[in-house]
Amino acid sequence: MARSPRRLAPTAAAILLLVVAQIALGGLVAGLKAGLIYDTWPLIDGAFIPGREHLFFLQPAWTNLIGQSSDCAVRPPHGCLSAGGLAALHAADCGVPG
Amino acid sequence: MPPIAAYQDDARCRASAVALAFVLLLQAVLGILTLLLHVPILLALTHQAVAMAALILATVPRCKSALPRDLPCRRQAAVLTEASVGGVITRQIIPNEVRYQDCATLRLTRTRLIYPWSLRFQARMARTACSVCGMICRVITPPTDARSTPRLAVGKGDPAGAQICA
Repeated sequence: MARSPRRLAPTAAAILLLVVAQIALGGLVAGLKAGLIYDTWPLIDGAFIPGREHLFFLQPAWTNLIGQSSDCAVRPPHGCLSAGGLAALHAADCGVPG
Repeated sequence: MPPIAAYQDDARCRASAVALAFVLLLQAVLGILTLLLHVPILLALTHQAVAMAALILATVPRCKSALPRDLPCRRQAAVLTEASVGGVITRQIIPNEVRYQDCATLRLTRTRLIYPWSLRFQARMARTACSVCGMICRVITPPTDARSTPRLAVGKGDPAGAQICA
């Protein structure tokens, strides 16, 4: 296998990590049925990041991390973690001489 | 083989990087449509299938060198490296690169180290046949700017040597 230029390695690794993170978050979105509860884009209940009352309303507080309220907590990162921009930069970087 | 070693600066690797960018863009569009259309099963399944494709594209190395191992250039590369072409790169500075030098990687190695980032775009490129192996390579003309003196330079090279797979 040919050796790749080292300057491309960080972005390539970052893209791979982002893709894996996106797939994991996508699993949470699907499992929590977040797409059915808040079916708007780009806003979620009128805001990019839902208010505290929507994110942390279960008691005790830690259950918000795994309960149904986390449906609106996993959507912002799933949407914001889009690796497309980084991949586009990476593709452009591959075309730059040097 | 680490997946990040997948990209080499040749046409095939650029194509795979561009393909990954497009797949991720498609994935974003599919995700938004799935959300706005209240998760139709077909769209949701497509969204998941494209996710798998993106993972494969980001993981599987696709950039095997098309060059045979025993190119004349490879043998000459070491000489070029020590003699310096269009600037200076020495075996001592980048010992690991010497092992992999061929038409493609020699070009990458040299340009990457000769020019600071800000000057990369000033290097003019043209396609020509390698005078040693006949392979079409890109010839790199160093920027004429006085600031382009390589920081890692230890001497001046022969610009004519840049015709060999530069």
